Amino acid sequence: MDDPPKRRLDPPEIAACVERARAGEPAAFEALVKEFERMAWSVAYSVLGNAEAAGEAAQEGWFEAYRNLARLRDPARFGAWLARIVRFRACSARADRWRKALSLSLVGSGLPEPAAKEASCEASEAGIWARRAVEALPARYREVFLLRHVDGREAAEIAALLGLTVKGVNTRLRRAREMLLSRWDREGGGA
Amino acid sequence: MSCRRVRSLFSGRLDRALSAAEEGGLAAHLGACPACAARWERYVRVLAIAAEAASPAALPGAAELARRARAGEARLPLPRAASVALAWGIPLLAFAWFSRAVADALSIAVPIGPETLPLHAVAWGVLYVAFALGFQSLLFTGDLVGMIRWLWRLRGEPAGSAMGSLGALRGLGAGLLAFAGWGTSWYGVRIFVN
Repeated sequence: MDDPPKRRLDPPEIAACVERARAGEPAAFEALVKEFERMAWSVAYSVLGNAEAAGEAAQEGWFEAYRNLARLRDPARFGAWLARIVRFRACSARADRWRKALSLSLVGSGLPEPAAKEASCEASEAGIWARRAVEALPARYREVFLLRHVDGREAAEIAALLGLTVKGVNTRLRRAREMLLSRWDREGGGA
Repeated sequence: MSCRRVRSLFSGRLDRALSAAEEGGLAAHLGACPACAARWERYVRVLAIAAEAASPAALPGAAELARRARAGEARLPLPRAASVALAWGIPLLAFAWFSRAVADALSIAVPIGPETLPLHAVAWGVLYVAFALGFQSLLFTGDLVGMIRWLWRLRGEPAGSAMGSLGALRGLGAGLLAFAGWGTSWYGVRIFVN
């Protein structure tokens, strides 16, 4: 499974984009969004396990990042900074969801399950199975899996973003992949 | 190279992180071992399906997201403390106004006396339940806060998200519940006092 080669901005380019964005250049911030949009979504999704909620949390994270761009001390590490903001936003959203689920459960109702959206948006049984399987991964494995397979980042980039070692990323990635394959073998992949 | 060893290299092979010797040994093993070859094929297929299934269906796109942020739609959300104050303040103010009006109106319509006492007793029972529900609605403070923040964010945005709308509706329901519970229970207190 080869990922399509993707041109990534290197740290000096990222730092230059941040500086230009701070100076009010629209295209520079757009370039940052382009570079990290999927990463932000992946981080939020790894926390929330729900695509729609992840989109909202990621967007909130972007807005917060935009407002606080001037406070970023190391522009080259914009990605890691954004990942922390988005993760915090996603954790807040998850706490809100739990609180709502608790309050609603007391009057006999409940939040729609994340899986409810799947039936409408996924055509294949295997796709539904796969989404559930990814959502069932432990968050720390799901995060690296998404960054590698959805965002297409290399282990070194993921390590820099998440503050992990490359070896640690590779270990998590290997375990995530093995978990998915084991589950497929156990359950037949929704067939 | 054993089957176990070969399978432990699958992840590294996917990331093109194997040494030439490992890659050579693995390729030779896969050529000779149908079980491992089948597993490798399954490994690649399952991960491709999982990656596709986990990918976002649609993202706003760089241009749109950047435009929203620049255009000021990324306004500061209403501070949580202010949201909580509003969430409590609005129902309390409504309660103060509503309970007085309702108590006056109902007392005039059905004067309290020996013959109307059963009616008022039943009303009181209903109000007691309403009070319990109203009290429970305190648990919905989070929804009220969510509703207020959502409405705040709505300024200038063409449409709210489905989750935001759901939160707003729940918040509205919770607000009405609190409103009805507190207001009508105050009416019960007025009867008791009278």
